[in-house]
Amino acid sequence: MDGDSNQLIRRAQSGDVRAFEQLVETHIPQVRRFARAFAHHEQDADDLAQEAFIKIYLSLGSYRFQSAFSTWVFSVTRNCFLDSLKSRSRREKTVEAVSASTDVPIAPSADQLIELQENHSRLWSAIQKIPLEYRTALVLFDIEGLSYDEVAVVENVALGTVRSRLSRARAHLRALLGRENLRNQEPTSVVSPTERGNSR
Amino acid sequence: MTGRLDDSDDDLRHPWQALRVNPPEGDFRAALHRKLVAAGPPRPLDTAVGIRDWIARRPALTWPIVGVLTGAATFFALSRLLEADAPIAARAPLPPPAVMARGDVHPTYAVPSSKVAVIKLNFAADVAVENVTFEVAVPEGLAFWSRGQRLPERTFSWPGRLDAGDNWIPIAVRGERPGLYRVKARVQIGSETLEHDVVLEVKGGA
Repeated sequence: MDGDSNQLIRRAQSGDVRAFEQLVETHIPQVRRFARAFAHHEQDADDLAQEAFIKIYLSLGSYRFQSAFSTWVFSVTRNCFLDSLKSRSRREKTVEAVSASTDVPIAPSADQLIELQENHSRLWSAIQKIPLEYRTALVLFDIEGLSYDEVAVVENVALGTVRSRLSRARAHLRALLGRENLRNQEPTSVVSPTERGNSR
Repeated sequence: MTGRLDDSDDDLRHPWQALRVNPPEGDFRAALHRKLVAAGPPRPLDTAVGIRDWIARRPALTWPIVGVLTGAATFFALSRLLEADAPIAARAPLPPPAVMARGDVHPTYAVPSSKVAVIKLNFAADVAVENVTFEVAVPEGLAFWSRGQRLPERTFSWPGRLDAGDNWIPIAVRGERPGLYRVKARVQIGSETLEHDVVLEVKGGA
């Protein structure tokens, strides 16, 4: 971790909200996606992500610069999500979020956007059905691109346990979606509708 | 990455990576900012938790530490028993505790006791707010300083306004003895109060 980050952490630890916001700037999209694996709707996921950031902020005093800050953030976030699931059933909002994603690289048509969102919703729904103990490994490794070592630190388990959980999570997804459906997801999600035919 | 996926896993990974898109932001950051401000400053680390974590990271030291603590506890228990038999007049009164920031805190500023420190307090606001009241308080051992003079007041308050964005308030203080001091600042907006603490470390020497 560089000196600037350490300085930001120390300022945030003393109650500087702006420093904290600067510090977690790059983590906001990651934590919001991670939250999606624990909430049925985007609005609920955002509430959960904000809850996690508050917890990270209030717990900053316990961060001792002994692990990577990003790993610590995921660790606190994971615990927050698990606590939230255990302590109360999540309130479900009835309003379905159907706004278009602004991050699709090539502007697709409205139909393609809807199809894309439906596929993403279907995937997230399937991920939410994976047992809790396997879900984190799949989201952090397969979606967020963390290493086995990093996931092991976040979950506080051995490397072998991470591999095993990942394998089981994928097996659950195979069962939930079906192998053939999985392959069909790929081109739709990746970008261009023309690639869809080529990759089948 | 530490590990490699086997072939069957490689083709499974693609669809998941497609989920790595940023959902629309909406007012996420603004709402988060409001909640962070309302949440107050981070909690200082509980000393007991800190010690427990430190020991947890060094399992080989667990039993030696338990042994040392047991010995120390026995020593203090015996000392208290012997002290209870001593005449009351022989017990010296305890010195008054130094007024310092409690808990395991990191100083925002550090300054020698021979110098005046200018602390900059910041109240960030999303929108401009008229008619607010600022208040800054310093603990015993720290004094406000103005034009080369020590001011006797421990608290100052004044009316003002908040601009949208950062609102920096410079405060000149001087420490009278080394230690950690928490300067408390707050701004009253109607019935709502925003608080911001700054920890100043006063060091001995020039």
